[in-house]
Amino acid sequence: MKHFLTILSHEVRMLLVSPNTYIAAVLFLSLMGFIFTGILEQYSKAVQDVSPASVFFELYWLPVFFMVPLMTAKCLAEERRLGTIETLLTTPVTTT
Amino acid sequence: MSSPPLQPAIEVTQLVKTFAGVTAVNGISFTVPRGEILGFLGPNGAGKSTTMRILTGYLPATSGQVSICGHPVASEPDAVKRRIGYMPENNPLPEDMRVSEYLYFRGRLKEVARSKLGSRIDEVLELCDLKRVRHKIIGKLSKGFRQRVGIAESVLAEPPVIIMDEPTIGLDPHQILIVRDLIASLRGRMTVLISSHILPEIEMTCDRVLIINQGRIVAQGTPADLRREVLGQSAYEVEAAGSLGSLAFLLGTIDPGLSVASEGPADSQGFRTITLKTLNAEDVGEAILRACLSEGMRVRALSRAHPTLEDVFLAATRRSWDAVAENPKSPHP
Repeated sequence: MKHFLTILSHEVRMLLVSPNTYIAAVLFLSLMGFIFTGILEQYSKAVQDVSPASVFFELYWLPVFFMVPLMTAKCLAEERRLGTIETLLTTPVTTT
Repeated sequence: MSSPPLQPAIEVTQLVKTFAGVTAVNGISFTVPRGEILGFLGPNGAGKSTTMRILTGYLPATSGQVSICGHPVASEPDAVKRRIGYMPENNPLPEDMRVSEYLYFRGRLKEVARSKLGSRIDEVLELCDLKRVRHKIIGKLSKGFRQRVGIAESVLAEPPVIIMDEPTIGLDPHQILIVRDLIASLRGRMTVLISSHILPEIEMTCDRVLIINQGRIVAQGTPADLRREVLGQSAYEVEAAGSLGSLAFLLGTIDPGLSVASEGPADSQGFRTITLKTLNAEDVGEAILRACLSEGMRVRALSRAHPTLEDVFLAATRRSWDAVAENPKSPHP
């Protein structure tokens, strides 16, 4: 895991300059917003035992399940497509 | 560097690489002393890129030994990766980074100290004439600039060994000249291994040339050695008018191997081009001129034909193909 921080900061910076990140963020947040309004509507109709926040975070994994591969797969695919993985793997980085 | 200076920069012994039954590299052995620029020549699919990838530790070898500055690639990949600068074929670069950002990132990956990195980046930008574009985005640069960014990146950490796969591909003659000077400026300080299809290129920059074909070394040596070894003859061209007469006999007295190889058609003034061939490496131009004049021929021009590396390359690769055809050993198991 040598140079993990170097590569991490590089990837985060690359994500921040890419418009795709912001599109993905808007989609993610609006989806979460819809889920949360749904929960609040249920709560306004009848009294429930658990708090709305815990229901919300129980459902949280579902969008994340799709979001994380969406963003990370692009990083890998891009490295392969451009061939930069070859230059990356010939520097003293280790994968284990 | 911690390794003793006497060890060769690159040492390859009986390297074999097979891809799913197809032998890409078949028992290559060579040694590159420190500070030498070695040219790697071969037709497409000869195994150049594969050999280079194995040298960098990107691909594992099927069998054989490779060591860089005395460190075997297979058992000490980290030590090897710290000692090489590698520029792959087609020079892959991230499209959406600025030149200086990219060099900073690569410098950090290559473990250049943070305090030295800034000045080192300035140095390589200067060296590769990239100062004007240091804040430009790489994806928007022209091919020549991108290529120079690749070269700047490979020399960034001042590695003792630099491996470049076709550094001049797709450049215009002016840019090729710049890249050539750049590589020549590394001579003595760093060991450079370059592959190229552009033969004059290799001839001008490299101290030694290695020609490989179908995964085997077919010729190696300095360009001058190769000419002698592979072609084994020198040719003279005489533009002369008049009958040949007993010229053939006279030529025999100069050098028993000297003979008239071909005779061109005469032009309007009666001059024709006569090609003479000899196995002798010494220059017998003057003797030929005397013989022609004593025969009463009018001589307009006499020149010794210099075989280019191109001829050597074609002859060497053809020779290896002939050897394969004579002795059909299928590369498939």
